[in-house]
Amino acid sequence: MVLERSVEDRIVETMYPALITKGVADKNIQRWFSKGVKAPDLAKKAHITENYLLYIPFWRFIAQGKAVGCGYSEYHESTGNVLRNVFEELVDEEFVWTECACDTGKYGIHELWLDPGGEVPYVPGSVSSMDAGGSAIDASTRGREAVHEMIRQKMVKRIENVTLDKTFLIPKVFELVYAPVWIAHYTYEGGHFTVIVDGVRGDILGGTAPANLTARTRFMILSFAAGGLMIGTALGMILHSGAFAISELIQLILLLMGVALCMAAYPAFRAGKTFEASGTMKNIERLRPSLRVPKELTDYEILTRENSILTCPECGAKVEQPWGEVVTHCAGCSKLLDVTADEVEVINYMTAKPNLLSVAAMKDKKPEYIPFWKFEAEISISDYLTEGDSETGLPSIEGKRSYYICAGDIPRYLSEPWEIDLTIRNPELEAALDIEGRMPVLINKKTATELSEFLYLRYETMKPGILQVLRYNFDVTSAEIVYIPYYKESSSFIPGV
Amino acid sequence: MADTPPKAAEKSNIQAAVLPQIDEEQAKELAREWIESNNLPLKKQSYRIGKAVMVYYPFWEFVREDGSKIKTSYRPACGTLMTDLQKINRAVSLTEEIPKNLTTLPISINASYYYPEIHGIPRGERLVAIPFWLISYKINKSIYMLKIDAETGIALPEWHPFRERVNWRKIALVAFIPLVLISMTAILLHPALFILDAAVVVFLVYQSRMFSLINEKKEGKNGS
Repeated sequence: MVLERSVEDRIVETMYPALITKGVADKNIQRWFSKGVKAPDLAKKAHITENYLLYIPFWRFIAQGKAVGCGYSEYHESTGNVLRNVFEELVDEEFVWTECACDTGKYGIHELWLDPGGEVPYVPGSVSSMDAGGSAIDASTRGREAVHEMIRQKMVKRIENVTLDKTFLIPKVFELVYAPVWIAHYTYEGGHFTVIVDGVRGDILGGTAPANLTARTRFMILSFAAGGLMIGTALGMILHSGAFAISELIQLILLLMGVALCMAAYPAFRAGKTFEASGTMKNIERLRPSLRVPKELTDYEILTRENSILTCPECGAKVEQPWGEVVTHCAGCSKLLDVTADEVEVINYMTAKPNLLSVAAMKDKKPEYIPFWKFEAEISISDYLTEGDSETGLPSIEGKRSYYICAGDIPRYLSEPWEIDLTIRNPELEAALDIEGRMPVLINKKTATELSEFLYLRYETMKPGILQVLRYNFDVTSAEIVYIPYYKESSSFIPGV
Repeated sequence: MADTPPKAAEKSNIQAAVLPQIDEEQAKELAREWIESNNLPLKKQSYRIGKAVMVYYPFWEFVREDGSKIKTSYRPACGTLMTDLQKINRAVSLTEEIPKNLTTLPISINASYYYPEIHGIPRGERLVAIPFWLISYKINKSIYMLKIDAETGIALPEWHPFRERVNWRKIALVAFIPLVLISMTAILLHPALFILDAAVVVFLVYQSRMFSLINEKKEGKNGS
């Protein structure tokens, strides 16, 4: 499902069912007490005052990331030769971004630790959950930015000097996911501590515990002994009148290393009052109240209120948008509307008639009409450089032409070759009379425009040679939806135009 | 998304509340008393009481008949990470005179969620608001938090640092000074004295209690 319309209302809410019972959580906590550098009698003396199940909300944004990156890495040989490796990277993967949607304060839970899969619909009030805070639109924007960054990181992994870097994404899901955790508060010799247990897998996500004093003392002794050894040795060499095999610079470095070791060890072991498990509790020293003072409008209301009543610009009818469809027909005037968070735009559309050849070949078969975005675009290239063989048999798609992007519910691995085929061929389309049973449009204009640019870049990377520099202007002059007939044959489709 | 059921927050209204008996100054004074009376690592005047905010937490009040007794229990009606709020007790009955402009944290848990754990014959349930003072305090550059029940004045602490039975400065000096001196002597006189360095480290590590680096009486038998 593609979600483009932003989400202040009707946010998808799901939750992971808790698979771990209180007894199992208790057992795992007891086991955790006796592991690591914790107080040795912790398991015996700790008293669990509370252990309760709580669902923590997370924003989750799943997107298909696409990117083209070019560049080179250089290696300097000892002989002075410079070896240059040129790279052309194409990224096409799913990326998942999550962020905690409530203030977990000292618990420091920032990201969801569970993978997508196994969720059930969330029914408000049916479980003990934290209230989701903040704006869904802001979270969605942060998610987009983060995914763009993830794609970029993935792309430039091998490339030292990037000469071309373009990232795109197709949003798939933006939702609020509730993850169950067992929160156990316990006391130990006057101190108050907490452990968090994953309610799905039973792992300890984080926790605070009194540290083993003897171990810390010994670490402190060892650190200061090593520091003292370095400082004493360095001072001895500096004060000694004789010549040493090692230079004065190294003596000075040794002295400074000793000082640095002592300065680092003292606060580290002195302040380590608690054992911190990985993943959470990072902010335990910067504890702030996990408090949200109620506002006039609660966050829950923000998430569920009808804040964006969108109307058709042609007839003024209210636009009812089912989830997943971003382009929908107006109930009043049947116009095709591109619905975004802020506005509704009327989109021209046409239905292409199957050509005679396909009608003759696919006798008695009814075609499926698959929606495509058709962009009239012009690409003008100002800079182009490839390394290696640049002779190609592929036709050029620059200049003015129509770009096609599949907007229907068709897997991308199937639809991408169609898009290239239609963009290269630019077939003459004959308008058919209105037909029934159109496939819903799942990709909106903005994403489709980006994808058409990606289509061009991907096409360029398919050519022989390694692309290094490509500077261009991509101007889209018009956009419309075209329903193109395809005949389904077992697992493949045969184009009708 | 499928149609969602009516929201818990809209369906339920606060039907009774605890009237706060403690004002901000009293709450801060109680917090001060608690900090000073507990095992916190304080130097003279080294802590500072910060902001105090009064927050009404929504709770479900369940009245159940259990044999000849009528039991009243309270469970939070909002998800919280705070300590000691899961099972609170009230000795005094709550007033139905609700303070003006009372706002609680958003209600996100239905009463039915607690039915499996509340025993007895149902004799009533309602949504009530209980006020707490949330007070922040600072010790050695770190900020911590304390809850004060705004009716009873009981302090309910969150995670806080506690005094340890170790003199870290002493440990550092005991390990550092001999090693510096022996190493210098080894360089100036004879390198064989470095063996003494190693012996001192081993001795300190295994005999650390002899120097009272750890208060053994409180540390426990096995000590490790």
